[in-house]
Amino acid sequence: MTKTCIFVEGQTERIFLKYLIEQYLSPPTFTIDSVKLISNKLYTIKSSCSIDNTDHYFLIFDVSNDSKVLSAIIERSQKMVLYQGYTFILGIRDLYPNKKHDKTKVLNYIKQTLHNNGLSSTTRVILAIMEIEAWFLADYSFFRRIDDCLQVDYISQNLGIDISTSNPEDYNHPSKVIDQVLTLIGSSYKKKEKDVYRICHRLDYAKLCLDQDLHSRVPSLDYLIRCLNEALDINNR
Amino acid sequence: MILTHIEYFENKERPNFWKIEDINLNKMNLVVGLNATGKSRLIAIISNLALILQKKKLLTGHWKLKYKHDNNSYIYNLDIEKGIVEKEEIIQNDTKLLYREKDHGTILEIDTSDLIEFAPPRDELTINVRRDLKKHPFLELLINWSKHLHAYSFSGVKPNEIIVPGSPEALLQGLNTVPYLLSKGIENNQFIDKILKDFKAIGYPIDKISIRQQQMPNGLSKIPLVMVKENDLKCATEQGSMSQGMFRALALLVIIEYIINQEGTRTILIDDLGEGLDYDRATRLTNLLFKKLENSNIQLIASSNNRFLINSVNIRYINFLKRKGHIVKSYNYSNSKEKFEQIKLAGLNNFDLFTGNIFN
Repeated sequence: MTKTCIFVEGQTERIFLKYLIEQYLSPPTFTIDSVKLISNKLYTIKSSCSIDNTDHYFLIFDVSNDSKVLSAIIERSQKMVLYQGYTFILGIRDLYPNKKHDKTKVLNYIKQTLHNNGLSSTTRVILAIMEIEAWFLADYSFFRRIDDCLQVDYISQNLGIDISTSNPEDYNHPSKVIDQVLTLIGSSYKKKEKDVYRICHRLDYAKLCLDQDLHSRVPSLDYLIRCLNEALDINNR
Repeated sequence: MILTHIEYFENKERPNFWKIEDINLNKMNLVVGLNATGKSRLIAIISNLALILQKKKLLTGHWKLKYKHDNNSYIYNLDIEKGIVEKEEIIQNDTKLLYREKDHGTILEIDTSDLIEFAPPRDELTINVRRDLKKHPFLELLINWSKHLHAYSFSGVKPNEIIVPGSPEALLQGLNTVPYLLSKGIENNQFIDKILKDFKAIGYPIDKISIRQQQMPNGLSKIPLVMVKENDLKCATEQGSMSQGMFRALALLVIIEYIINQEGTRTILIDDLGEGLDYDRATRLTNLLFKKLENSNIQLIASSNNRFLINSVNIRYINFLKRKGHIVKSYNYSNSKEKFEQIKLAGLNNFDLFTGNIFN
């Protein structure tokens, strides 16, 4: 059995990751639990009854605003691997509020920090460029699944953005792009729980997980899937 | 006057040699480090200097201070060994205003621009024997700074201990004198309302603060006791029954609110800030304190080893102390900009200064 803890920045990442894993590993031989850190106390969001007879166990650890992903990893992951049987640790965070030109520096600092703390072999941190919503925009077809009028041409005519050719990693605020598009149908995207569910429920996870062309255009998404494969020990099977 | 830099050592070439290097200060400061690295000692060397400048003590030590006032930068070097002032020096920008070794020295007269020789007693600071507002106004800066420095130990206060202030100045001497300070301001609704608001903001919702005068036995005068009425309790809680954390937080908020309304620039030192408070309240108190004092005329130098609290403040306000043997080195934004930026960029918390192997 593999046992993976995924540290995420907040609610959006937690919801997206749960959908992604469920779709990627279907049919189910896995268990997903979620916990949230509030005022330095852990609260269970959803707990599975048992992790017996499962091939893959995931704990999605939402550090919320109380901490930062890398800090939480440094603080907890070594004990999780040594004493709680975790086989792999993932961390997912946005590059924002850092600037795009800081990307290489940020990645190097993360790598160096993991190395200094003896975590290089079991831990990977994935940086969404600039926000996790860039991965939603990698499958822009969710817009028309929300409302049929939100076709590529309609969006282009009204907002001057061609979501079919733009690279979602080029947007400074992908979440704002989603908000702008949804404004066209009198709706919005404010990162609220219902906003995130509405999108995550309509994403094409087969495309996000398996489309190699898409992965070459969106390297951060490609790295997420590669890290997930590494956690699942897929390449060694 | 704002302190900007401190270096200090004592007992050179002796087994008990101790040195602290490269403390760089802003208006707001949090000194952090593991236990026994020198945080409290740093607070003590600053408050001791103020006592020396006020002629209350003559302690052995070697201070090198940098400070700013009205866009001028100053350096003050002071060496005292066994009750003898070995050296004293004040430099403004690049101009030497005072240089003194033991019982001889030179001092600049600002009104005439003359450099005057003088012979101070070996056991007195020039600052104390040559005060002259017209000729040496620069000496007043340090005198005023020392008069308006207030040092508090957050962990040193207990709800059941009250210090009776012997003079009006002593009202601000420690957190244990707060019942007296509060009884002085209890009729001032604005003052009390601000304390209620702040106390609520850090997680103690109370609707009333009052003072009860307790008659002491054997004809001693009455002493004031602080009472608070919590929103969800039907009765008031007397200070002796308050938790340590609650009383410490209340005492600090009262004293800060009082000082913030005083004239002139002031310095507040707080050792062990947040000690005894739970995570949430310690964080809220720190946030409130830094926010409240940021735009005031007060320089704050607080110390803590509460790593969660460290996360509440801007990383630029931090001096992270590490001790290697007898020498304490401070890492701060001025001398370790790249490392501090690394913490920000890598997405680490400030408390990873402790845990993240950043300065190893």
